[in-house]
Amino acid sequence: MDAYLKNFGECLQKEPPFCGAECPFHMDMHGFIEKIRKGMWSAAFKTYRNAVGFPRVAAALCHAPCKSVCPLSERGGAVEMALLERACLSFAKDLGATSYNVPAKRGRIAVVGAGAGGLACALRLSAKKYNVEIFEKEDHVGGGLCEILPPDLLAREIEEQFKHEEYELRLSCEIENRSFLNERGFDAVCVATGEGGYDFGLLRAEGDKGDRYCLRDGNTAWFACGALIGDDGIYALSGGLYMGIVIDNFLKTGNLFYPPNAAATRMVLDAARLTDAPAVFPQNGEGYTEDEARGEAFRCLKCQCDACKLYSDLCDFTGKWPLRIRDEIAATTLPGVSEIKATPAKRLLSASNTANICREICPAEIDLEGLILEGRRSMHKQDKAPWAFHDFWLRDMDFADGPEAALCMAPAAAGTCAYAFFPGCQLGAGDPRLVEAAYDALLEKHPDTALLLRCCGAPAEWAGNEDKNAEAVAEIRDAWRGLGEPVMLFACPSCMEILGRRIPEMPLRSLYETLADRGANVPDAGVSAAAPCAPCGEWAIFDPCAARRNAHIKSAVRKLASEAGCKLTPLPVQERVTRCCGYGGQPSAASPEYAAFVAEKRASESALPYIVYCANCKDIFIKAGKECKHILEILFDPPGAVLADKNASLNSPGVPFRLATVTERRHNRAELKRSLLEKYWNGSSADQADRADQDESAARPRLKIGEALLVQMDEDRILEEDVREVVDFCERTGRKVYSEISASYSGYRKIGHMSYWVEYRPTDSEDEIELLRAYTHRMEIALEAVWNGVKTNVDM
Amino acid sequence: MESKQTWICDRCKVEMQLMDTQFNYLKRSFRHKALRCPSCGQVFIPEELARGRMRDVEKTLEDK
Repeated sequence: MDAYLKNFGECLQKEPPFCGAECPFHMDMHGFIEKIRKGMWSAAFKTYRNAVGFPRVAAALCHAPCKSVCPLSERGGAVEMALLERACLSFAKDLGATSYNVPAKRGRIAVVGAGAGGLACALRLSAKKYNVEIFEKEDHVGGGLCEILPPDLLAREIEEQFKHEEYELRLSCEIENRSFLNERGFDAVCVATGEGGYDFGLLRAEGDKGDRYCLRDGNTAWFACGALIGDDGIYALSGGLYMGIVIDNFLKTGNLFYPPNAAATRMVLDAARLTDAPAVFPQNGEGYTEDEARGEAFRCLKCQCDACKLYSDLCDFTGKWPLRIRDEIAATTLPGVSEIKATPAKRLLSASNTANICREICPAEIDLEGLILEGRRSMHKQDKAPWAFHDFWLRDMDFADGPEAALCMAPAAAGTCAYAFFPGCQLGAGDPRLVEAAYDALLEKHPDTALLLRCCGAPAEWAGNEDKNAEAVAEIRDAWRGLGEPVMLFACPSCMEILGRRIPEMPLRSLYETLADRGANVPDAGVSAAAPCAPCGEWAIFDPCAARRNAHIKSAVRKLASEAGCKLTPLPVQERVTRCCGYGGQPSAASPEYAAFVAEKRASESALPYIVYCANCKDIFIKAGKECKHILEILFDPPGAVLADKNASLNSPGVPFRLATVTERRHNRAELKRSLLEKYWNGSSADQADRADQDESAARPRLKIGEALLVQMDEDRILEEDVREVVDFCERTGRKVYSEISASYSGYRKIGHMSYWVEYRPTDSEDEIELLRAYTHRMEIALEAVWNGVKTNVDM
Repeated sequence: MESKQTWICDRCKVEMQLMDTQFNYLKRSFRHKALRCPSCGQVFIPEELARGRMRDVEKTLEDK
């Protein structure tokens, strides 16, 4: 956890914009621009005045060095900051200096020279209510400024800005040595005697820490600034203001520090932010109107390193920056109970993708998703994660790895196998025909290809359940070794990415590379000869997040699709920044809103239908109403019903394709296992137990479930098996309540963590029961162990 | 659903009544009135309650 948190120290979110770093005054550009956009002229002027001290002087002196670094300088012209500053001077109603109500401070400061640097330093320090004395050898103030600015403007400006400050001005008073001021008890002296002026030994001096232009003489600290040390024009003014801060620091800490007044920025601006709008030029040739100025302010990009905001769905959805999310996760995962500490990220931890997009797009390679996964592990270890966020998929994983669906078989024909096909548990769940067709094609090419049906362990990894994940990985490793360490061929890029990371010694390859090698046009057992023409048309390939760094899979899928006759158009963003469809990390239980938000964003990137090669992407897009096909559907266009026997009527010909329900997904897996065993291994005895189960269920009354309820159950992730179990339980124990109005019975049973409720009634037929409602709650009804059958054979 | 709806415990054949019921979720326990059989204690949670108020409380507890 610490390593991930430390990683955030590199975050560039708070780096100053290019112009702000280049600005001699390091003005708060974002604040300034925002105020102009809103037409808050007086507020914008105040920002400007606080930065530059003497706004009229600065406006006259500034040569706008910010323009040289503006990213728009090559694209429509740099933002006209100088014109915007002048617009503030024209439109602000209140141009007066601000009076600060600050208690007087004890330090005494002498300022030698009343030019730009000296006056600026005196202004800053007198505003901080230090005791300031200015010594000027001439009989007037202004120094070099008098040659540049009209004397009346200069005089008015100085008078205005010093309006609320007290200081002593000694004209015609030349200081010739340090002891003169040392003896008068000054704590600090600012020397701003101008270009070629007397330096009091400061030009060659070094401070305690090696900083230039400062020295300690007795109890007095001496600093030089302005044109004396080579800062001309606007830099003399900014150097003087900066000197105010340096001396203030010295008086507060006693440390003689005088670092250079330069700010660098490490900011990185995403190219997607650049625009080409031309700079606004004032119609009258001199200065902006209010509308012109606001227009120009709106053109400003307000540069900030915000790749995360642009590309991370989590940042986009929550409106939070990664630094904020880090703080929330750090607070949430701290040991302790929530009564005495905040846990702001409890839901956020599970309501997020884990597709590592942040590390990919972040210039500082900050691994936000890594932190999120680590946070999930921490919450799981502390037993603080709400089980409901991941329970369904962990149960699903148990089913995929259980006797009904899991299978590990070497090909009957070959003794040893060089390859093993790992389709992943979701492909067969959604459409078992695709697994069968792909396995057929593989066997044609490599008859020594084994088959491994099971889950890769992703749900456990995403739930932060390390032990369960390690268990799954160990089983897969054992199975792989048992098959003679074949090359694993993956249909699902997520399984491939996860197992490649977890079992690095395992050689792996994607199914699509192997199919592309073979040449998709060769008609064979798996490919229907008429298929290649069917999907002709324009498509966009949607790369799944797990294939982001795997150029081989990406090009293999493109090759297969093109050869099958699809015209491919690249997706504008996904091609460059491969983001998650919304499935990765399984956020949909913790935040269905977030999952839907991500799916909608991905689906709307192009109006073209998508070709995907991850079964989860397909399910997500179909659910979001996006036209979408798995590449295997395009290659094999398998005949026959989409689903196994259960509810096949819902997918009969002519009815639009409908996703398998959660129940059907389980049946499909079991059916796939059964049918593959039958086809390739002459019906192994391994599924005898299944048959016995079926016989038993055939003896019970059938459940009649209306289509609307089926859809609702699918949405709520309620399995028909769960419903069956509750009905059986109610009938067996008599634990049910009767409603006179609907002549129906209701009852519930806790299965795993969840409490399942059903409402049902007998029908005219004795072997059929009609299901009226099915719903769940996560809370547990206390004492249920006593009377709801978890303790077996309790006769109430 | 009609407000006059009555529910009868199928075992005890008595009408369900609103009674204190104990719930547990995420290591917290709390009591609330729910329909129970006054004789055997069997609880009934209607769908509207499970999908409404109960879900809200679950969400709150998950965020805590």
